[in-house]
Amino acid sequence: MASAKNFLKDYEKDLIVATIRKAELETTGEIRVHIDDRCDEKAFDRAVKLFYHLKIDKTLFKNGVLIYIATEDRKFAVIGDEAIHLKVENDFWNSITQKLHNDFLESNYCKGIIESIERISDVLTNYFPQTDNWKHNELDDEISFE
Amino acid sequence: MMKSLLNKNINTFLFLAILFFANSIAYSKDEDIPAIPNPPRLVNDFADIISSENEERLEEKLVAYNDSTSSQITIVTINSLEGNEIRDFGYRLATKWAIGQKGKDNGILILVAKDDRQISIEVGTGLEGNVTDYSCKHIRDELMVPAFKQSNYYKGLDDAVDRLFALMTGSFQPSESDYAANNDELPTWAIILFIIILVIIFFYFSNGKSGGYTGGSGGWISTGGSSWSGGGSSSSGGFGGFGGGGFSGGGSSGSW
Repeated sequence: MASAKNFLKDYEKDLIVATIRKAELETTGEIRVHIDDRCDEKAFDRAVKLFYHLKIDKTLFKNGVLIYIATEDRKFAVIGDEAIHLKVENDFWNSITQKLHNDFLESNYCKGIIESIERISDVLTNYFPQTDNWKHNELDDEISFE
Repeated sequence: MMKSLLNKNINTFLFLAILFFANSIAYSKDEDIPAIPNPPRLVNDFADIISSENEERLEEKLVAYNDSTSSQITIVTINSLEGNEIRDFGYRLATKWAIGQKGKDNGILILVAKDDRQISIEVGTGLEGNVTDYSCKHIRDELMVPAFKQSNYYKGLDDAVDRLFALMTGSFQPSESDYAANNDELPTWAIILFIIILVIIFFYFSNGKSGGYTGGSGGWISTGGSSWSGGGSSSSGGFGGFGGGGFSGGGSSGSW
């Protein structure tokens, strides 16, 4: 069974964390990935709860993004804080989830997550570029599990 | 008795002399290699071809890569190879500096010899699976040389680093067209191979075998493209007052 912990291989987790760190180099935005085994509600609702629980809502510029995945229930959600949402609208989120859907169908879990992070990073860098007087990492880059 | 002791001493002396001499030869062989800077840095612009501001930017980036992957990219620029062959010089430098992690051999050295107008990318054997010779050639010819020709050394190095990182993380796959320049024969059979793979995948899926996802019940949940379960498209409003606050951001959800 693909439980949350072995959904990704160890080196894939490292790659994802590395991608998050790289993604955050040029932007003040923050990206987090959370993986659960089960999710007995809508993935979106669970993601929103985690958004607060992981304090992603506390970023200074309201530009945190959460990629949420429930491996056994095969559900996921990608949500972003209001400052980003004002810029990108629904099409962006839908394009990311569409991509994850396609990649996950082909069992390309790591690839799907990494490329999604890169797309999100492009948008964050575009709208929220890094400034010289705001150079610190607000949130943990590690993948969190329930 | 006295004589034999003397002989023995002479022998010892000779042996030590030879050892010392041999050692000095070995030492002089690497004398042309710059010493490791103290404290060690990942960007070593001995030829002074990038501004100190860009140097810091690159250094910061490489340190971040190093922290997150343990793979190490080191950049060294020198004025002249002084008659050395660049691959040989690069190899000796990478060895002397012990670039990469011990035992993992996962370092990459980008060496630029300014006056010789030569670039070398040395890849530790631990990374050769991801970063092939061909990829390195591509990086040199397509990313570095054009920028260097315009004296934009920073851009060339920065792009090279980004591409190397993408290769190491597997998020960048060399495309077929990259190879086309190298081998005209490839595209034709590559396309045929692609079609064959497509056909195989088609049959595989139409048989209802769930590809590789263990524990899946077989048969994908069809989301039909845009019909995401969850509140994806309703992201314009508040999301139902969680914790009193209400989520005013946006997002989308799906399943597979």
